Amino acid sequence: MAPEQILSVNKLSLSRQSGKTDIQLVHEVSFSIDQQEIVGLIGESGCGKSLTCLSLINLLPRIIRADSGEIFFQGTPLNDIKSSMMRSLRGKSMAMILQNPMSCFDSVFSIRYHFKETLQSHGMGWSKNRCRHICDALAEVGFENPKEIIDLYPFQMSGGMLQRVMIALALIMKVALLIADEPTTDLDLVSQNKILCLLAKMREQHGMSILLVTHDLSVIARLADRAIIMQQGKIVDSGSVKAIFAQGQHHPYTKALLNAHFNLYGSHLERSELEIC
Amino acid sequence: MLITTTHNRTKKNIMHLLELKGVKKSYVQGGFFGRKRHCHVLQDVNLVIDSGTCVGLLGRSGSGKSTLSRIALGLESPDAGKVLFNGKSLSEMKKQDRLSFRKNMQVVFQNSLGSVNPGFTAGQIIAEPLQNFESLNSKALQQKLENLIIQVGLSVGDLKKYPHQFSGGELQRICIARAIALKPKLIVLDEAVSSLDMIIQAKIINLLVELQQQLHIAYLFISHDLRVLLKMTDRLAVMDKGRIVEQVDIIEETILQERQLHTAFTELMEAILPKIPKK
Amino acid sequence: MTTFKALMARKMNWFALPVIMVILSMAVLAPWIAPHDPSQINLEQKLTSPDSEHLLGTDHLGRDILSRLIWGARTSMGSVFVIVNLVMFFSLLVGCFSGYLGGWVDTLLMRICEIFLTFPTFILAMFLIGVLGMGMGNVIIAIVLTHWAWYARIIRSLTLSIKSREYIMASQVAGSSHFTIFTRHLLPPIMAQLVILATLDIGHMMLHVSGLSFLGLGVKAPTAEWGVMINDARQYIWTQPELIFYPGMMIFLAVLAFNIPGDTLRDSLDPVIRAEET
Repeated sequence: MAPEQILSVNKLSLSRQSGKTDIQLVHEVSFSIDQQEIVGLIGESGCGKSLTCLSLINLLPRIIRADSGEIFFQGTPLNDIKSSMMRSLRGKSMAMILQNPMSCFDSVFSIRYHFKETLQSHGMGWSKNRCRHICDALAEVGFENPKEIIDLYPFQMSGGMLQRVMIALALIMKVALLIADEPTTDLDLVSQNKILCLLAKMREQHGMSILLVTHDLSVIARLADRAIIMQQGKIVDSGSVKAIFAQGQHHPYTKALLNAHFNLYGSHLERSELEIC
Repeated sequence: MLITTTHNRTKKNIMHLLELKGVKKSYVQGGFFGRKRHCHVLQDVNLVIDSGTCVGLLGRSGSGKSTLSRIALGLESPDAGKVLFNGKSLSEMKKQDRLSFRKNMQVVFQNSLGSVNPGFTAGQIIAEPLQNFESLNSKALQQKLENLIIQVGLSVGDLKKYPHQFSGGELQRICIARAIALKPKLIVLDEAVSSLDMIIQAKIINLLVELQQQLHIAYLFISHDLRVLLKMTDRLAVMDKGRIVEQVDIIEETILQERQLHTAFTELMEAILPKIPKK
Repeated sequence: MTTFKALMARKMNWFALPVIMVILSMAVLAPWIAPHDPSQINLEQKLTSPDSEHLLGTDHLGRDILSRLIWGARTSMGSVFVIVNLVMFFSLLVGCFSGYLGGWVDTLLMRICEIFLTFPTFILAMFLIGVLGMGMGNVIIAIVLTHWAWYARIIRSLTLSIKSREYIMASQVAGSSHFTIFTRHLLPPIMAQLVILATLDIGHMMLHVSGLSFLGLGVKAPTAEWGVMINDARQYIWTQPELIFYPGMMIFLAVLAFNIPGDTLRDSLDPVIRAEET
């Protein structure tokens, strides 16, 4: 049975007006994500990866215009969707986690409050049962003492911990698609590894599809099934990760990325086994 | 694993470029009316850097790397222990030696946009250390600036531009130009390449290696990316909870690996992401 | 000059800048351009309508209204100028020291600021004048004492935010002394913000000056000042309303005209916006 297509983007173009000219930021980008698939989106800063993600959940900054293109989520077109419908999709069926987790939380409110707010904004009431579900979700993402975490404030937690709370929020809402915009860029190696393992677990055990945006090919190598390479607003290469990493005909930018990536692995890092978490 | 470990590094009669001996640092949290808590950031740190070498400092977030770099640069004083530059203790230095220390110890920070004054042109940014230490007339200064900007791979016209007109990688090159302006003996690279994209990162690393060969500078390379450190450094110091728990020599050739390495280091080694996908 | 270009790009400034120029010229050139002596009383010619000799008519004591308006500009603008400079000086001194040095100096200076912030301007003015006597000098002192603390706090927070930026650390590593860091990195953006705040506040201060003069606490008769002119004209509000209208209009125009360029000035001093416009 063919896997269900969770997301389909068809010729998405975004631009911005500067003075009298239009600056094309994203040009006819097309890709799709199937159920339980992890797609990696890689490119340098300013290539349009984050803007593409924001357009998926309809949170583009005002000065950016969507010129053309269609976005389908679980078969529903998102282009001219009512804002109330979009709001109900956002956070419930599609969630996004960002690079700087500290900026995604309001420091004056506890973690419990953040969960409460998210649940209530999607019409899910607050009760003792809910509290238990939240503790289960926090345990699932790797917290040993969820009851302690729930009463903490964001500034008392590290970046890695906050990322895990964000994933727990997505988990409790049972989202179908998780958009992860550079979730591990600001974290150290060990925290990065833990978060990537957790994302893999979300896919395996909870059926989440993930759009993983990064500028590091090793993250793609670790987690993604397919990779899309963007440069200056256009997709220059895409395919399964095995194909991308194999020797063969690639776009010059892909080759440059692969060179830089392989160069990092000097003779000290010849390993034959992948450490699985 | 082609890494060796060493035991006694320091011989007493060798003068090191920079030496941290028994450095301790803690901060007090809590104000007037609250209970004061002592946060021990550094506990008994011993580190040595020799001329022309590249020493890497590796550790997880919160292990004390940034505090260590600030103390090494003389921006903060340790609560206990000494910082020795060319054998002389910072706290006991005379003005002349202090100036020499300041001239020879420079830094490149992680966030290039935050480490430059947004109202200054690239030329003004690079000129700052030169204006502080050398009295050059405007022609000589301009000539030096032009040489520096070309040395880091940008063009002379870029001297007139403002920081927001540069990309992250270009701005980092300007910060590097500022750091090498006085031909220092040691540059602290505080996560200097961590925020850069892969291709830019590779170019900046190449630039740093080139400059080290040209100018015979020592580097204290602070990073959480072990791959970069294994490529660039001669020796690697691993920090964990405010202490340096392991120091290893990095050598290219096949060497025996006998000693059990500290868990802080092995934890980081195991966390390195794979080179190619394995499915 | 980009600042000028930026100012002229906003259409509101086409109105505001000429008005400011006119008012400042009136203030500076009063001795030469006023047609009559503003204090010359001529009871035979009181409350006359505008004619060729008195372009705006005369007031209840026969004094030429136009001349009093022109000399009033001198008094109002002059006192506001002194106030603004004194406020800027004290607030810069206290705010910068407090922010840069931190520690007990900061705590002490901020507590002193808070004490001064509790005083409402008018009450303090009345108290001072009760103690020291009437006169513009005391009005100026009262306004400075109640305003400097507000600016000092703003400058202190600006200093704190700039001080924590990495480029200050980078400058220290580059060998800059505290004084160099202060003059090179801290002072320019602080002055820029201060100038804008002061410009925006000129209107506010002018209202204080006129208000206190209106209450009879400021200048002594027969000195011309817009607030005093309004006070004098109160009893004639039903018969000769223009006597209140002229000085009121001047205050209104002056406050409006000074407020408008403040916003534009801030934009023109921001290097990002400046570069985008070139």
